Amino acid sequence: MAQNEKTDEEIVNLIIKGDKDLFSEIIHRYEAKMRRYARKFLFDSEHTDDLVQEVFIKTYVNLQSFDTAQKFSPWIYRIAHNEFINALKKKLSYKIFSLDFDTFLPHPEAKETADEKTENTFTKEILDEHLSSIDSKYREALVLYFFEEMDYKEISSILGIPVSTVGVRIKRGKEKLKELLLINKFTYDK
Amino acid sequence: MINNNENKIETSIVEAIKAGKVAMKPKWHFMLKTAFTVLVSLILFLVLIYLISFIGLIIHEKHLFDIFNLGPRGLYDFMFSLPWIVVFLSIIFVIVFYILIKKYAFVYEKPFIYSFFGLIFLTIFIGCLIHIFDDNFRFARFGENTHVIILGPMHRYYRGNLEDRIEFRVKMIPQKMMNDPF
Repeated sequence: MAQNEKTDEEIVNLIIKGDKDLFSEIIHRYEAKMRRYARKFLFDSEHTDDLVQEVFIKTYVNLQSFDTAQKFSPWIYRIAHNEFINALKKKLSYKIFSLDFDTFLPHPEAKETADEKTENTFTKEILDEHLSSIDSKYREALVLYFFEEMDYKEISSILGIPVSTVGVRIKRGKEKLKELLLINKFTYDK
Repeated sequence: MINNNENKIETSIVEAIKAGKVAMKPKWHFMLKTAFTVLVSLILFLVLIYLISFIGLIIHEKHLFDIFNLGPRGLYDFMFSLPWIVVFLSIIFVIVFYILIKKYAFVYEKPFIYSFFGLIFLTIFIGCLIHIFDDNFRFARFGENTHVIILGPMHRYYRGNLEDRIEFRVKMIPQKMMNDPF
């Protein structure tokens, strides 16, 4: 079987068994995704290279802790998420000791609908323009959902929050986006 | 430009791996880390249950539930007599325990109110079970006669010296008989 036909998990399994050269295939598959995630999440093109490199190094160093029965993609995104959060903390634009009431109470189970998928292309374009104005708490959920095309369950495991909270954050993020659009429309009209 | 940067990262990491500058942590490192977390969590949980049992022992010995039934004054005395340091210590232990297990899916997948208060409920429930089924409160009285740091002093502080405790029990019988000889 050719390398590009193998799943991420199969490749990781082979790397763990000793085929270290195969790690370049993992970098090849995820580098563009990691760069996009970093750019959309941090808006700091200056440090993107260093951060993405650090993500891959940490992935390799901790590869033996990955359970190959699980999906690899949420695992590497979780490493990236932690790395980018630390970068945000250094810039002091992320509230370190903030209480997140979204995770406190149970919310009705949020379900992804078929309408959402058709709506996504439109939302993606608008989101791309206004992403920097949205709070990082909502931004990370929106980026993972719209740009990285993860489902709620995967986002939940990357961010370490309940699935219902993911739904709430995406909903609130979209509401913020609508507010921003209204403000901009008002400014343009003036 | 992007392609150049991408190749740069891929090449530098692969070279660092080949040169041995970047190495995978061995499997046992993670197994040891997990075992350590499980062990610390277990010890914390045991300590928590011990503290809950201790609070139960104090309530039992000082007849605090009887006082509690005496109206507002009883409620005031009940609140005043509770071992608050132990109560606060238990809350701190619950928080530390929660932080330790928070990274596991079975905890973070549930809303905070379920996982955190569920943990408190579970601890109190097990503490109460031990309190009910443990004859003579052996578990809660663990360490009462020792000079072990914290345990011995904690028992002495809240329950008095051992001699006082024995004397108190001896005094209680004739006093009861005097009050109700038949």
